[in-house]
Amino acid sequence: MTFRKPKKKSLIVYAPTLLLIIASTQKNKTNTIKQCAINSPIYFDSYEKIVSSILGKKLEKGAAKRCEQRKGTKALNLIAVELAFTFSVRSSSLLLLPSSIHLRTAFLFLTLSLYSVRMYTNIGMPPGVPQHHPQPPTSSQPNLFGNAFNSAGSGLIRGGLGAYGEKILGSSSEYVQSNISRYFSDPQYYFQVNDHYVKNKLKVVLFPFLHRGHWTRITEPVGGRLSYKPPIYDINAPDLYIPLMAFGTYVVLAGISLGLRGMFSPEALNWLFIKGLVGWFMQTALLKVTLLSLGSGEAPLLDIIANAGYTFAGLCLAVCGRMIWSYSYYFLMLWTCICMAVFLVKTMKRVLFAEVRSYDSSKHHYLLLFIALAQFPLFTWLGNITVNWLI
Amino acid sequence: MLAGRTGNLDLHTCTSVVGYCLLPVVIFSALSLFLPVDGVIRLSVAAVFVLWATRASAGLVVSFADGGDEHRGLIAYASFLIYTLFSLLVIF
Repeated sequence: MTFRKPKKKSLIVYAPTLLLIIASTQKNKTNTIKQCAINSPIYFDSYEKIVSSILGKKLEKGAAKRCEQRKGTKALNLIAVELAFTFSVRSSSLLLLPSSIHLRTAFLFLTLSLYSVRMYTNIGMPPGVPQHHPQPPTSSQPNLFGNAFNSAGSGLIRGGLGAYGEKILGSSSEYVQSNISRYFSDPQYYFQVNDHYVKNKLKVVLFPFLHRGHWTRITEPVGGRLSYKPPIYDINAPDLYIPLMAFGTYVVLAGISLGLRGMFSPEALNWLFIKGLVGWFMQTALLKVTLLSLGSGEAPLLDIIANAGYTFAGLCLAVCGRMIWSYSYYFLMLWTCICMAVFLVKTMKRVLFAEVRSYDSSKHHYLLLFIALAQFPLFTWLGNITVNWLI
Repeated sequence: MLAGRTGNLDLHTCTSVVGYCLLPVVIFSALSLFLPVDGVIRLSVAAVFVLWATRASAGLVVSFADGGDEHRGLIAYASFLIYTLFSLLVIF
């Protein structure tokens, strides 16, 4: 197995090596390793065997000989430079290697780390050698090897993560897109609104008793498949503009309410935002579970999210009333709970009866009643604006 | 802001317009250093600056987007929410 060297050698690859050479030159003055220990052929033979067996090729000519010829502290520095150079060159081409090489390179890295630890500990006490030189400082040796392997490891990690990242993103993009297209129908559909629709929709949400006419959505055949008309043409179609604007208004009004009471802070706004999202999620989950339990899971998820988002339209009214006169909060809260309950019951009834021709109507009515009754605790919790989001 | 996305209005244009029209809110932030801490005066000045930013933002977005005239109210309300949120950090 041969390694393909990269055509372009960027400066980043050699930067750790250059830094290491400079560091070695500086440390050269303070190193006082015993020369006879370095001259021992055991370490150089082990080094050459390990590297050649794992990398699958011989070292370049004369590498071991150059190590043997140089004496004293330079030989030790040269070993570190050789290791750093090897890893730096190899790490730049990791993107082209198969995954098995990653394991072998990691194994090589680990083995050489252990080998360096052993070599460092054995240098200090060779047997039968006279004590002519003073003891080397213990702080410089680990730094030298630490620098070598850290610089090589950073290149290795950078290249490896890049390879794995590209692999993950490349293979799963189609899967993610198919999932997105399945779960979220066209988001553009929900934003085709105008002023007229928004006014009428707000009337329907806040005063559902006064809504004369039917609650069914207008359908039209498009390309042989039945689909619904966009909100701009159908008052009963859900949209995402009103929920998003109502949610934003809820956060702003809550901030103003806290500010008037002297408890405003950006953290409080964050908690209110999270509280609103949790409430929205609970409303969506309630509607989704109800539809699933009735055997009708055909409604798109964005439809449910949009219908759940109308909750905040009534909430804004209640919060606004509370700022004006605190006792009107209870009347407005009760009113908005009832209106939202009626709105959801009528909407869900149309969704259910349009898709499921089931004869078991008592179960439907009980679940619709559960939806209506669940609005009261949810509104009470969302309407209670405090710094703590839990209550 | 999302209601105006009917074709040629992309995310960068929206972000740019919102960022430019934050300038009145920045002026209000500087001015509030000298205003007294009385609530009524600060609220009045904040309302003036927020409405100024909202009008500027809605005008710019409508001029950029094709067929944005019918969405002017919706765009203005979204801008109003954003600048009110920023002015909350100044008032309180």
